[in-house]
Amino acid sequence: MTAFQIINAIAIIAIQVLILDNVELHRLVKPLLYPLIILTLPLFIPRSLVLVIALVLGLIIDISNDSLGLHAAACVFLAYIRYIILMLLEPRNGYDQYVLPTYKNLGFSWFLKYASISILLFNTFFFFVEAFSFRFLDTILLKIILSTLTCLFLMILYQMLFTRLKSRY
Amino acid sequence: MGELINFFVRNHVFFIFILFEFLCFYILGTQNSYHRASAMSSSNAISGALYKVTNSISDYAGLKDVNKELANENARLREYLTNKELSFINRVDTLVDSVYVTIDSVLAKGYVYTSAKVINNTTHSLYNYITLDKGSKDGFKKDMGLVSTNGVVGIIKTVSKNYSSAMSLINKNIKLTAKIRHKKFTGSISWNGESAQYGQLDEIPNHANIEISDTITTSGYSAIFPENFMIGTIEDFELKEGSNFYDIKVKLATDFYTLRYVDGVENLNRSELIELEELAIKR
Repeated sequence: MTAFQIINAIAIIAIQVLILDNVELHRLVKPLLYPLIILTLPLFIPRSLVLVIALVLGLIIDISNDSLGLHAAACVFLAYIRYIILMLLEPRNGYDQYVLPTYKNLGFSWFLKYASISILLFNTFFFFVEAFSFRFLDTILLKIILSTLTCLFLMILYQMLFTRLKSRY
Repeated sequence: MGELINFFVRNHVFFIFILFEFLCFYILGTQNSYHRASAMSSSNAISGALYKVTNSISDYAGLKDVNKELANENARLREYLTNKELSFINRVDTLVDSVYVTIDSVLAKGYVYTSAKVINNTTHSLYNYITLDKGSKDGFKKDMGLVSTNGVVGIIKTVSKNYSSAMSLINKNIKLTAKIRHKKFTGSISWNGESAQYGQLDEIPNHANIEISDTITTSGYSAIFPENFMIGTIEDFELKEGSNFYDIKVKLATDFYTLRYVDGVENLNRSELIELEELAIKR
């Protein structure tokens, strides 16, 4: 983890807590950006470290949302399945050890596959834990689909703006 | 033994995962039973201060609406004062920003209102909370009621020195006793997690003669809110076959999307009332 990545993570948390958590697009849409931090962690750091980072990140989001444990549980889940998804999507010649799994480094279609599978599972876990029942199944399923699409859009948008900014330096 | 240790070492990631999930679900479970540690909620000093800064930026945009609301409230209070006889009020002490009103002993209930600003408010979660810029040093306490100019808002759950966090009326864990005005039937108000504009009223028996747009107010039984405080109006109701109670949809009077200023209501006789009721149960 470089200092640059830490600043990037803080920026994402700030956008999530200060802006996105106050935006209400629709009651079925929860605009989430912060899973991007877990998704774009370096490829070859220890899996246990990914879990610890996810737990801390989840608790930070939870404290500001008054939903203690909810985001943290979903983050830890995402951190655990991240490795499995990365293995499934491994390119034929393997990953380059030093790249971050962003759409600029590994291609748009690869990132879209990687992010959509991860976020779909993340949101499924999140909304079922939030409701804690199967009673409003139709609402929950709609929430999962719409929030996943919004989340993907936000993550790609963030990376687009971000890489453009970076190229100026 | 060596093999067992080897097994744990080989699968350590999975065990850490299970441990973390267990931890998360544990704190998620304790949180719902009202035992939220105040250090870990949005009423703590750090996030409280942060919300205050962001709120002060977004404040200007809403000044027009706030002015309108205040003007409306002024008008209503003036009307109230002219209609009610002033002799009802024994004493009006003006503190910095709270009005202390002790009403005649015939009514035997004293309530203190303290205004506070909403510095964080969620509407999209199933468990919504409101963070306020007043805390224990301003006399805010756990289980105080919260009202806006339009109606009931919620109940304060955790208090720190400078901030407090309240459970909003649109929180799946809330339950308030309520009554239908002029009809004397009491039921309980809760929220089903769908729209922030509607709540539901249960436990109204099927022989009650209710109509759409009847007013729902607080019952005054809970010792948190004074009697006859607006909660909402009946939007729709139905009586399921074989059921003894109505399913009533209530349009909430408070607009949770534009909440800015609220008043904390403290019942001065609350501890006395609770003591008395506990004594009665013991006997």
